[in-house]
Amino acid sequence: MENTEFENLKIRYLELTSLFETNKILNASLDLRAILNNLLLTSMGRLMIGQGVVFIRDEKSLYKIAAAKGFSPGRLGQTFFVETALETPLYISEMPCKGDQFCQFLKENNLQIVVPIISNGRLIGILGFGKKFIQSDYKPEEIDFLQSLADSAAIAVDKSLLFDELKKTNRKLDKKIQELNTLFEISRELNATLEIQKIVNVLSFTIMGELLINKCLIILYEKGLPKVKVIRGVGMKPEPVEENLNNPEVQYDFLQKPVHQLGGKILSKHGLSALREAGIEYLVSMTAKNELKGLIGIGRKITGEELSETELGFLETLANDAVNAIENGRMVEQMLEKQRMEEELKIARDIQQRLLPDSFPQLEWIEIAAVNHSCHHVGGDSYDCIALDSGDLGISIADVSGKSTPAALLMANLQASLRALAIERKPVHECVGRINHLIYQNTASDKYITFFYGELSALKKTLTYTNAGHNAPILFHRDGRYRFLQTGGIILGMMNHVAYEEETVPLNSGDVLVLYTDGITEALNAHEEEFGEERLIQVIKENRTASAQEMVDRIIAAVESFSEGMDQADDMTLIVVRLKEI
Amino acid sequence: MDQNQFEVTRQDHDDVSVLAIKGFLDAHTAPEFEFAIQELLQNNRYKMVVDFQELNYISSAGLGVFMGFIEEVRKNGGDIKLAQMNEKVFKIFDLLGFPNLYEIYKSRNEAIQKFRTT
Repeated sequence: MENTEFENLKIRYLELTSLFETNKILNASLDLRAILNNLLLTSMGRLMIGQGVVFIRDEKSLYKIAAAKGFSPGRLGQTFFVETALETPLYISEMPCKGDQFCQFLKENNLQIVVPIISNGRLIGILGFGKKFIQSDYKPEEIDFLQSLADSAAIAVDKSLLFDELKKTNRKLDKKIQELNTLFEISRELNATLEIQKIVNVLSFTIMGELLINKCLIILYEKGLPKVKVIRGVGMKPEPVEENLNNPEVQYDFLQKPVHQLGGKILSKHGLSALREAGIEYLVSMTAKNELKGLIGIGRKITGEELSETELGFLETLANDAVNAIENGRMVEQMLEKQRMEEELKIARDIQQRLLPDSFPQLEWIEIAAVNHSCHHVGGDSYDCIALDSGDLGISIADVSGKSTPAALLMANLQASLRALAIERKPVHECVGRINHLIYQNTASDKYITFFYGELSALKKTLTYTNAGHNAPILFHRDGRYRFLQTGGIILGMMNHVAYEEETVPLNSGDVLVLYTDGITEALNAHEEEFGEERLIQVIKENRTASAQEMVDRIIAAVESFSEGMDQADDMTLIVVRLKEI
Repeated sequence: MDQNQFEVTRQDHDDVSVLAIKGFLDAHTAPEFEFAIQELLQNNRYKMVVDFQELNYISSAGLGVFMGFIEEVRKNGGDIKLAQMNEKVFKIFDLLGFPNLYEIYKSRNEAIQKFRTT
């Protein structure tokens, strides 16, 4: 009898020791899994139980298997709805089973007893135990022991649950901070650069890194057309994507909503097949001033998850930041382009000014005067006076289509060829024919030149000329008669192998030859009337005896007074050659 | 080291290339790192170890570079393995979920050896 009592005391003592130890370990740890494993192993070892399981409250009445011993693997994480309000240990055979899954699980696995883990009056977990090895029934003091263990573990479990919760919240917070850092960093970076390509590169990397995405497209609308600027990910080509998005209706829809998930309505409506095939899952609109500036297309997250609300919000913020930077970049690009164009114009004007002769050949029998007014910096007018042998003079006037550098270069070409040919004393019509051939070969079809070239012979006192579509120069005789010089052919650069004609007309002392460009005759007055050839002839007639320079001055004065207050659209070039009176 | 500084140096061990990165890998310096990886791809070198020992900071844009190439690299039988990350850098990797996608090793050699055994 005494022996048995002593044995009982010994067992009791052992139980208390293990309780004490368990308690110590439990309260020192915040690791839920360690706590639960310890709880199971202590109970099972102490009472020699083959199976043990812990359910931990997940939310409301859902309980999740958080640790299990003696079960086939794969049980962890299984959740059950527990209806029974468990307050004390309960034999499973006595449990009122209404066929719920929890009950079924316990019975199927041949568990014998459940013990509640209660903290602050809440059921935070349930322990389940299987059969004991030596005897089938749990003695009341054994149940007491299990309950004591559960009670002492309760606080530790609660604490670690709270700790887990805290860890989760902390991680969420860290993630939020990381997100804000990213936004801060990218906005700093975006504002520091004005290169659009750099901006979209940074944008794509940031999105891919932050959201674990490996397919990214960035499309910008340039003059209303979608252009793929970034394409990252395997097997995507820009052209079909651009084709897909080059549709006003698609653009309208993307303007209405910041984020579209590809699929469903938007897909069936517009059939964005190329985007879909490329693995694009979301399209984020970049809008500014109620205009669609671009789109960000991204694939699924590598993890396969859908993007969360927060992540979508992050994308929207990012898209907003980026569109502002891109717009700024565009503005600067335009400014630079304008500056570059102005620079180019300046160069063209320099070329052109240098092409015009700065002095005329000094000839005994001829005086020459000329003027060239160019509007808007660079015009397409040019003229040249070439001293030939035997006191002869070559004179040309031309109007090159277009403005700026290409026109200036074409003009330089024309002048160089003319000089080379003229000095060789090729016949006038041949000079013009060969220049036409050269111009035709070397310029685009939309570039052409109206051109007049004539040679004044000192010996024969004649003018031999070819007019290739230029405003006919006027040859004015002393007696008041005049003629237009229009023999020749079509303008230069239009057709290959054109045979030009030439004409030779006699010259007399006192004759005046007036060459001009359409800027003179087409100068407009306030009534939108042209100055015209008749007014020009009138001025020449009135100043028949004036010197070449005076003639130039008077014609210009007449044109200017005619078109007073009007902004002239074209260049004005005028050359007057006068045969000295002998 | 200046905030804007970043350096990448490459060392080849047979068919494995080690890219040692240094400084700050962020939106500003990401293109430089991208260039280094692109160069490897152009030479058909798909086995890469990125050594983080001297990296002080990485941002999402830096991580984006890893995302941008991983599929192509793995498709060609290679991998990008990471080594010697400091705690701060690892935290960012961890926060964004990278440890599930990339193998991370304590030492450079361990990472290189991993290519030999698999």
